Amino acid sequence: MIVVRRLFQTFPTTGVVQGSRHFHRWLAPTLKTLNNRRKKMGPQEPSPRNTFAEWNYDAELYAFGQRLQEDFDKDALKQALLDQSFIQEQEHQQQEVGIEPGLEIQDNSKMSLEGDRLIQLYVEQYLSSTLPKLPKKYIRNIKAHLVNDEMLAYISKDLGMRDLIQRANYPVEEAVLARSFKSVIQALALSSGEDRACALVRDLVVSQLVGRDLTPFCTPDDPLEELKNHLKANGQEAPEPRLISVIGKNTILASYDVGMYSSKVMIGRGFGESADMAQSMACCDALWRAWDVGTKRKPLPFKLELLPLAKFAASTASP
Amino acid sequence: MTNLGMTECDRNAKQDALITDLKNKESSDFVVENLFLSCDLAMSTLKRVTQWQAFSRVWHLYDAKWQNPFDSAKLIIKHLQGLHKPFYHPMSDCGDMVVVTNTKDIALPGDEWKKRVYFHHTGYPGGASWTLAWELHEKDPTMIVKKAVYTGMDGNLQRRYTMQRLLLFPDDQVPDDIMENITNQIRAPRPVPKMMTEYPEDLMKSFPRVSQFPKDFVLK
Repeated sequence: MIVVRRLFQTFPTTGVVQGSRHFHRWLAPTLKTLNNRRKKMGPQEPSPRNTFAEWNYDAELYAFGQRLQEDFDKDALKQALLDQSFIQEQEHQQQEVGIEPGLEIQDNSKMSLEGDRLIQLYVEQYLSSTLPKLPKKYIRNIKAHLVNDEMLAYISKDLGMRDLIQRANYPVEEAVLARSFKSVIQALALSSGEDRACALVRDLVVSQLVGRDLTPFCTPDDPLEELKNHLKANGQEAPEPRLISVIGKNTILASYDVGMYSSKVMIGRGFGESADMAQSMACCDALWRAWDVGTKRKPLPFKLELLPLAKFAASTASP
Repeated sequence: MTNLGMTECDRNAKQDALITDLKNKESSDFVVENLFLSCDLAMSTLKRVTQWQAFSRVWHLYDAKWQNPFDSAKLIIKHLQGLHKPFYHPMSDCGDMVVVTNTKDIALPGDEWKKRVYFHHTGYPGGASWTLAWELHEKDPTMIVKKAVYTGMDGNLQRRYTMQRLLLFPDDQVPDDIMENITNQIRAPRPVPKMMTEYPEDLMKSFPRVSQFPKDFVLK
């Protein structure tokens, strides 16, 4: 593109008429030539932004904190974005030159463990207080969806952490991105306190559930058995499935409609291509209604006063 | 409450004999509205069965006895093409099946039996023929309804496929495997009055009359 810019510079388009007087017959041949040269050179090494000459790492770190509207401790943030592979590479380089290897800096592996603990605990606390009727098993499913490497890497990539992380190789792996995100949360907890860190987890991690259908996380393996147990525990009568209608019974597109009743009151309703499918969907529907996770649930509350994490951890550990 | 796929036609179907009274009383909060509220990329089981139900082909029954075939055609076309569904789109395959019975008992308005002419051309020179409605009806008692529906639709590529979803029977003898599929009846626009011959003999005799024929009157 440099050549193209040069060409523009030699024929500056200043003045009243803005350079559309003639067809630019030189443009297509120029682009073709550039493209041919690029093909001839073959695939190039990726050039990450932080290898550029004018890269100012401290300024970028400061801007990162400002983007998140958080006051990070500079050293903590620097450590949070320092991967183990970077130190190893540096030491290796020192050895090659002949210097005794030994760096005073620490990587983020320890920080990430603490950050992971904080994220896990907060997400669990948030989910169990906003979905109080949902059994623990399914809360764990939702938590696993939020707090896995894939999701955390996705979030940290969106925050622009790919260029900020100091590591040996590029592009950055998912695990490194996730580890750095956890460390950044821990760095914030160290800089501005646990509450700010929890609020950031809420805004970045928990908010991934907005507009998401929770039913795939809350589908039991045996819905009928689960519903029986649920009703029994609540002192209700055993469920009774009833066929409401069958559309196109003798066709390949048959659609069954089954209602689930307990003491003559409809508690769930399901559809499906077979009676069994419709019955299990009716069971699931009854359970989802009971657990408040159906598609008609209220939006998740984000202005929520929660207990401090230590108290929550103590309350879950004791029983 | 969940977002279960139930369309208006299915609600009509529910009014049929298949549903229990119990369900009608209690299911007010089980009514379903928007199908496409949340949009996840991966389809959950709930989404799948919801869509299955929404796009299920409903089988309608239409009794053409004493009905004007041209008025009936409008009604039948609406159901065949799925125009009565809230999510209708011409490019989505959401039309229903319609089974029409008693086509031999249709009622053409005015003197249409004598005046309406169906044109056919074999393609060969001199191959043109004009058939009166009553003649055509004698040859095939389902043909007038079929042609009324066919000409009532726009002539596009979809028309012949839509026509395949229309099943016509001259009388009320419908095979069982078809009858089992039906879950809805389309209400005919005209009331069907009871004919004199349909009343039992003793009821006709005992019915009070203003005057009687003389005993020696010979009825033609």
